[in-house]
Order: sequence, then structure tokens, then C-alpha cells
Amino acid sequence: MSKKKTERLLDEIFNMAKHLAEGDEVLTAEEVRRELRETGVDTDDLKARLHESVKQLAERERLANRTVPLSLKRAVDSTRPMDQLPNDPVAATAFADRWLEKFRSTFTLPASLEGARAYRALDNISEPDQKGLDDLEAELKEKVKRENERQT
Amino acid sequence: MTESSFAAVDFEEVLNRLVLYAQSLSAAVVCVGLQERILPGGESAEDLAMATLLKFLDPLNASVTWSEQKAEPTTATVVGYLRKVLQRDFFDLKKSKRYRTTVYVDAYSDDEDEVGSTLDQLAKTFETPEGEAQRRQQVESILKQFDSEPELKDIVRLQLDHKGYNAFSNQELAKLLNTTVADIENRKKRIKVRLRKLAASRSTKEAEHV
Repeated sequence: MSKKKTERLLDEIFNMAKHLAEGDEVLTAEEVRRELRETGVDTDDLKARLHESVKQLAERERLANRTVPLSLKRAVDSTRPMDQLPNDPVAATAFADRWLEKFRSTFTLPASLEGARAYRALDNISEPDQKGLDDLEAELKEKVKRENERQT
Repeated sequence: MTESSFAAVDFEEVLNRLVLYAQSLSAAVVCVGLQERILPGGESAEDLAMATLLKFLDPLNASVTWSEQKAEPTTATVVGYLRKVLQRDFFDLKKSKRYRTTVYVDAYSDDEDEVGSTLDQLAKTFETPEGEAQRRQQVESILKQFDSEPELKDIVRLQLDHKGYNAFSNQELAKLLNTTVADIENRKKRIKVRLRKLAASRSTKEAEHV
């Protein structure tokens, strides 16, 4: 079988993947998380798994008396759970700054909140828009449920 | 030469974006007519993305490193670089014999007739009448998944055809389907999510055989 045939098949898979990934680059970090959740990926769990893995790699380096590379240190810090403040004061300040930045960057109040509510009540809403609103509603309910469970 | 600080890299975001790309590759494999088996390094797009990122971060693994000659890394540049690594690994493992034996551990033997097939073997039928028939079957099975959303079907059909997915702009599609460009974009987004979910579910189903 010619190698070219396999290469052409791979090219096709690659082009199709590129086509499917179209527009992903312009998504914000929060939108990426939302897309992943829509496909059943638990992004919180994923982050926790990454944190655990990079922590183990850093620990292995320390135990072997080798310097932990900055990339690894950064990976440990940027995936650290919110309730684990680093011991080093400088790192702790940077961590707190990043934590606050997350609130600043993702909390964007809709420009026409009242308009959105009125729109929801309309009868002539298109099916995709209806679905989008239903998804948002379901997501909000899920979020509230999770928050409640966490508090109890 | 000083070591890059990686201060501008959010590794959580890197991982999430890699998962998204791995899902696209996985969905593409299903779309071109192959049955998705399992991904290298584990069972899902998350595993593949995680394996790629850890290879980059592990100081003992020198196969994927950020050259000090490159500019100071950012989230976007690291994602761009690792997407290439992920894609290469994805294709390498799909082509290799290890890929097949990873999937079918129970059925593993040295015989060439073993259960499952490598991408090379699957490529044998590519562009042959037999392959085209298989592909049409696959397209029909995917289209069936959209029975409950008929407004997506025409676009899905175009997207699954390698000659079709770049044939029309969103404006042209809107005109053809008598709707707005925003609606076409929305439909395409829904299709993308459905195809990614479909690929993920097939991967999980296959993983049960391992």
C-alpha cells in the first residue's frame, strides 16, 4: 500500500480537524471551559489532575536535588486550588493577584439585562435562540445546585 | 542564556485548549469514515492533551522543550506549539502497531490477523469503491444522530464531505438555506459540539473492550 495514501488520509483528517476547530482561537478561557463542559468534560477535575501531576514532577525533582524548572513551578502555581495559598509571600501575593484577576476578567455584566429578560418572554423566538437560552438556564441551575451542594 | 519565566502562561488554559483540539482530531477521525478506537496515553481527548502537556513540563523528557532562543512564551504560543506536538503524536500512534495493541489488549498477538487495524491498514481502502461505500455508511450513521435536529442535517452533510466543507461561505449557506449568517454560525457551533460528543462516546464505548 502506498505511503502516499496514508498521508492523504492523514491530510484529510487534519483538514477536517482544522475545519472543526475553526473559531476556537477566538474563544475566551471561560468560553473554552463552557465548550468542554458541553461535551461532558469536567474542567475542575481536569485542572485538579494536572495540578496533582505537576506537583509530583516538582517533588521528584526536589527529592533528586535538581532545580525545578520555571515552567514546572509556573504550572504548579497556575493550577493550584483556590484554597491552597503558597507559603512564599511573593508567590502568595502573585497567586492572590491572579485569583482577583479571574474575577475581573470573567465578570462582564450584560449591557441590556432587562432586554434579555423581555426577549426570553417573546413567543416568536427562533429555535436556536430558544435552545441557547434553555442551555444558559440549565447551566445556571446546575451552577446554583453545585454551589448549594458545596455549602451543605 | 536565561531561562524563560513562563509568567505569562496559564497552564490550565493551555490544557483546556489542547483538549478542545484533541476533540476536534478525534471527531475528524470519525467524520472521515474511521471508527474511533482509543487515544494514545489513555482513553479520551483529556488523556491525550494531558500526556502532551506533561511531556512538555517533565524536565526528564527532552523530546518536547521550549527553545531558549524563542521569544518569552505566552499561553497562545505554548498552545500553538503543543497543538503541533499533540497532532504528531496522535497520528504517529494511530499509525503504529502499538496503537492497535493498546486498544485490544485481550486480543493481542503477533499475528497480522489480529483484531483491530492500524491507520495504515484502514488507509488501504481510502479512495477505493469499497472505502467510499464504507464512508457513505459512516456518513449516514452520523447523520442519523441529527434526526432530532433536521435544520442541522444539510450543513452536517456538507461538513462531512471533504469537497463540501469549504465549498460555501457562511453568507452563501445563509442565502441557500434562507436564514441569517448568525443562525448558520450557531448551527455550525451546535454541530461541532455534537460531533465532539459523538467522538467521545465512541471512544468510551471502544475503551470498554480493553
